[in-house]
Amino acid sequence: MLIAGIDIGNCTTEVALAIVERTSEPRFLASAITGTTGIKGTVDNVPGVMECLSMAMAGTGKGISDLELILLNDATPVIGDVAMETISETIITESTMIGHNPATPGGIGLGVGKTLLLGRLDEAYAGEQVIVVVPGHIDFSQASDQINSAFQRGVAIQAAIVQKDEAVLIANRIQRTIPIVDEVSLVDRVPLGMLAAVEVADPGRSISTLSNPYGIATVFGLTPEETKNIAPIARALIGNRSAVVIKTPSGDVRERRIPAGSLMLIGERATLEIDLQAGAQAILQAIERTGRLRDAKGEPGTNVGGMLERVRSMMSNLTDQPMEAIRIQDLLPVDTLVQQAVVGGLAGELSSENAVALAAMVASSRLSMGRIADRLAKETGAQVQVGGVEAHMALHGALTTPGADLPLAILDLGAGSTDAALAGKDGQINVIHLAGAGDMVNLIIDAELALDDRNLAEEIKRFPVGRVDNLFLLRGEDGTVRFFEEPLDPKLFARTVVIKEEGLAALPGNLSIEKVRTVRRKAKDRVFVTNTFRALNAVAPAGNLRLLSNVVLVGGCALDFEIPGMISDALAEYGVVVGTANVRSSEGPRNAVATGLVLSYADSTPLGSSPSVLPRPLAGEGQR
Amino acid sequence: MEIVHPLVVVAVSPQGADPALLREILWGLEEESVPFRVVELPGSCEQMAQEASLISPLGAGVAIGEDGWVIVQHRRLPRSKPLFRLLIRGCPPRLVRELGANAARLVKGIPFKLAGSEESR
Repeated sequence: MLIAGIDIGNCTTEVALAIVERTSEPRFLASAITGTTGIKGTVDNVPGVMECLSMAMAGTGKGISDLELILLNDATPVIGDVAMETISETIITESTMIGHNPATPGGIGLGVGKTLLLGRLDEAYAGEQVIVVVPGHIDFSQASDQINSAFQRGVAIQAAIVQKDEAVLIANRIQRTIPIVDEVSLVDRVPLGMLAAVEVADPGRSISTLSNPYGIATVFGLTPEETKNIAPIARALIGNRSAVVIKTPSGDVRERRIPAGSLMLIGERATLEIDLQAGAQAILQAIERTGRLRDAKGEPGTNVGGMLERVRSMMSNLTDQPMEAIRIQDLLPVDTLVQQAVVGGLAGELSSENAVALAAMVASSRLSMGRIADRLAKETGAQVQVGGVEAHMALHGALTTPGADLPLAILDLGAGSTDAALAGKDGQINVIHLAGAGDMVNLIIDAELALDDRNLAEEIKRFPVGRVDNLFLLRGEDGTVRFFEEPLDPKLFARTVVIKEEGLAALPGNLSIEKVRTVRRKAKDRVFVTNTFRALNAVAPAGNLRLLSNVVLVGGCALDFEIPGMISDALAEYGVVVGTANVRSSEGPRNAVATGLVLSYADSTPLGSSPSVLPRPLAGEGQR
Repeated sequence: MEIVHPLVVVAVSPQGADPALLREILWGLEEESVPFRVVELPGSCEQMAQEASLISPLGAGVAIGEDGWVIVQHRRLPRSKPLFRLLIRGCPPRLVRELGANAARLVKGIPFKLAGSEESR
């Protein structure tokens, strides 16, 4: 009998194709993997399943019509979603600043004066302190001539703001050394007649006055209240070689505060309210105290309220359930620093703000699995059975790893959720599903590096980075050097790149290797290592990690080049053996659930008994 | 010809080069604060560019050819496949200046200015 075990995951759909006879061991013919179409647990998954089935069939000499039975994992109970919101209260002011980092600013020092267009320099009187603004249609020789003649009249030109990349050319042609910031593309938006400060640091150093709120306060004579408002601007300028800050009249400064809000956690043991400002650690502890979550709510009208509403409405759309019926079963909060555009910035300046990223896990109704099964039966003509809790099946599949034995714990590192299951010697199984996995890592990388490109974030997660030191040489993040026969694309020259299997991809902006590597590893640590402990603590006998002997990693993220190592390091002190699964000695950490479905159908070990008598999954409680 | 100082070599033909063109190249180098020297070299633009990159202690050369091309070359690149080449006719001066800047950036090891991507911005 030709059987297909199918595992529909958040990100990928996997198939194990096998011939199962009463008299012999199941014989596996092929495996396949494709991207999941639609959201896990919805009818939209069917096209992906069909594609995956035909991929598996190819080369086996069998067709879909030969298929007699399809075993579908019970994709309940979880779908993950991620959201992020700032927790520091957002203050929006309308001061103006230019904090981009042109490659070649001119001159050195700090200049303070009123902004004045170059064309109106003749209106300035002797001794007047001005900052000239040079628009793009004026070239550097003309600009230098006019600046020089103003110097001769005694006008105290303090600094210059230039649209084109000509700061050094101007600096080399004028009589005095003044700081010059160039490549200001939105120079026409520089307010004129306002007090401004321009600072350029020595090569290899960064500015010191304008990156310090009290420095700005000194320059402009600000009150303590005004100094508080200017603080985000100063923060955005830290590390720059050059900057401009323009003081806008107090009437122009508008302030709006959006409170971060509080989170209400409704759990089995208790209901707790916790302020988002308390940070991820405190929220995690609160979640532990409430016992298993039944639901979570955000304070309306606040950042967190909006965030949870978005999760709920997205989930309600996807699962076809009313919004009130969507219950959040687990949350993973992670503290992050997001790069936010500074209001009043003229060159897309960013400032880091504290934020919390939340991964939420929602129970999906079992009904839709039934619908998937019906549709699949119609399309394939085979009988379709929904059965087998995902984690049980994963355990069963993982046990085919050479060297693995009961008692065994598995950690399924997926895209949407981290699942753990522990099978004792007696076949007793404990299961837990937790919010937060690969997608959460992508979200954090995306936000912390200000990429605004989730696909690029995924690539950064999956591959190491390096820097193209010259046209023929790539230096990896670990210091290894690779030489190329053919010169590399000039677009990659001197840039930080992702070293993908199919080639190099340049990262935008001036991201350094160190920054990318730190953000990437921190994101993985805070999601996967945190969830490893949460998950294993929940399934370990008496909650004691030391009583676990073997932990096998399965799922897509178990293929990651550093996550298994990070988990292994973290668990080393508990004396736990951690390793990546090799399902059926051939599939690596993939295909565990699909394989487990086939195996549990084929034999009747305690693990493989019919789903109805399996212990209820812990996280599944209260789902219906 | 031997040059010992660290500088980028800009080659012009013995008949000289369009002064406006040469100026843009030199301004590009100046804005990047990289020293340069202008030398006269015979041959095609490709030959001049390669020779310039070979005599530059920094390995970077620029050539303004008789044929209306400007080429930026690195000492380790083959003659027929230079780093950048640009046909001057009808192209805005800032692109010529960019070539000078890129010759400098090749030496400094910072990302090139790439007009194509600039324009799409």
